[in-house]
This record gives sequence, C-alpha cells and structure tokens, in this order.
Amino acid sequence: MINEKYYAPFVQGLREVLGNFQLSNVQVGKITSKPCLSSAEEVNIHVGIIKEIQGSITYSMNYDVAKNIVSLMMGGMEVQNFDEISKSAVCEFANMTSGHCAFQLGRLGKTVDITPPTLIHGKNLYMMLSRVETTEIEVLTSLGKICVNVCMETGI
Amino acid sequence: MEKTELIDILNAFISSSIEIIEQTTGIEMHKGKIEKRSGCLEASGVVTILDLVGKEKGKVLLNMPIDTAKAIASRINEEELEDMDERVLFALTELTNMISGGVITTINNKYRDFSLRLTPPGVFWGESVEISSTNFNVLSITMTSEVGNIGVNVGFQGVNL
Repeated sequence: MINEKYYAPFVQGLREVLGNFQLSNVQVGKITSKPCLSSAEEVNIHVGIIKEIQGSITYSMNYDVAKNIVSLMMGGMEVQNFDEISKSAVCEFANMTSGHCAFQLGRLGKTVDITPPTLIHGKNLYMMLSRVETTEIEVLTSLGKICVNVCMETGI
Repeated sequence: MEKTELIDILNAFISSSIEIIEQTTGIEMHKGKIEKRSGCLEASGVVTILDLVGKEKGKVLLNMPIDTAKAIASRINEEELEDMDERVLFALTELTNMISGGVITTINNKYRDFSLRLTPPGVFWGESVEISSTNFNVLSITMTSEVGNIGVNVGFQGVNL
C-alpha cells in the first residue's frame, strides 16, 4: 500500500474542494489495497500524474453521486440528467481536487503536474487503468460514496 | 498547436499502429478516412487510452469491438482467449505502449519544443461507453482488418480543426 503521507493529500484535496462548496461532513471509510487500478463504477474521472511521481488518480462513483456533486457545484440546483454541463462539471471537480493534491505533493518535496481529466462513463463498464498496486480510499459524504483510487508507478 | 501538427501526430500514430499490429499479430491493417470529432468519443467495446503531456496536452485512444480485442490479444499471447479477462486487457495495454513508445520519439525529434511525455496506458470496456474531456478536438481514423475495425483517435486541447 502507498505510504499514508502520499495518499493523504488526495483526501485532503477532496475535503478542501467539497469544503469550498460548504460541504464539511467528509469521512474517510475503508482504505484497501488492490493489485491494479480497476473500477466497475458507472462514472469514473481519470487524472494522470507526471513529473517526479508518475501515476494515476481515478474518482469513481455512480450516476446519482455524480449528479449530487454537480448539484452542489451549482448551488443546489436539481440535476436530473447527466448532460454536457454535468460532464464538464464533474471533470472540473476532479481537476480542482487533483490540483490541490498536486500542490500538497509539492509541499512534500515532489513536484508533479496533472493531466486534463478524462471522464469515462457508461453502464456495465469495467476499466483497468494501471497494473500497479493501487490504494482505494472510500470517501463518505452526504452526497454519497466517492472512491479515490491512487496509484503511483514511479517516484515514491 | 496547429492543425497540420495534429495531422502529423495522427499520421505517426497510424503508421506506428499498422507497423506494430502487423509485427506482433501478423494482421494487416488498412487505413480509412480521417474524421474530426469534438469533445467526446462514444464507443462500445474496448478502448485503450493514454495521455500525452508536454508543451501541449493531449490524448490518444484506440477503440475496437470486443471480438477484435480478443482476436488481437489471442494472436499476441499465441493462445485462444475467449473471455474478456485480464490477459486480453494486459495484451492491449502492452500493444498501446509499443505503438506510442516509438511515436513519441519520432514526434519529439521533429517538434523539439513539444517535449511530449506519456502516461501509462489504461484500458476499459463496456456495452456503451462514452469518453469525454473538455475543450478537446479529436481527429479519428478507422482502420479495417480481417478481425474487425480499429479506431485511432488523437486529440489535443485547444486545437482548432
């Protein structure tokens, strides 16, 4: 499993971004290690990490949670369909969160850059983004469960 | 990035895909027509994806039907793979790695200021999958072969097509 000091920035990033939208009740659930970065959730936002650390972050959730996040970002407006605005909003959410993580990793002495987020969504979806050991962090919020998958291939 | 540079990069990926697939599987690929798409790519079947990062940020996606993926993976592994298991996914990831490895050197030699680097490839599959990324314009080509079609899609942020 990745050392806590390297995965803590990801939880912190999520906390800070959700906090900026006035959502403070963010709990960390189970933290598990799995042999590869895989997900069978409906909505996955993938962000690559490069430079001193090479790896990937994936935020996985179901459609309801994704719509709840979009609703939160839009000031509580009801979101019924996962449309173009919603897709753009969840990508921006992942971008902001990963940006915070990159900053925090910089404070640990690791200069990293992030790639633009890619949204992969669909029913009956299975993805495997890396064959490197991955730490899956369950983040429990009032919006629902968000799984943060962190894998670092080199640099730690 | 200019449109001509994106076309150059796409062409490098097409040549490399044809060469590597033929070398590793013996399957002959034929080029189709180049099309442009914006924002998202809808695909069913198997998709491999990798990010290109440097002066410009981009993505490369290869998409193919599940049967084509299994056929290619079977040839690479030299055994019949009937299920969509990890061996198929690993084979496709490795194929994407091989295709992109050579291309990056070619592009960086030609456009030195790009300094492109690759992230490790990922692969996913599903009945109906949509991949989207904001502000991305994509050039796509479908290549045909005896085992099915393979799409090569290359996109960079902020390129006007």
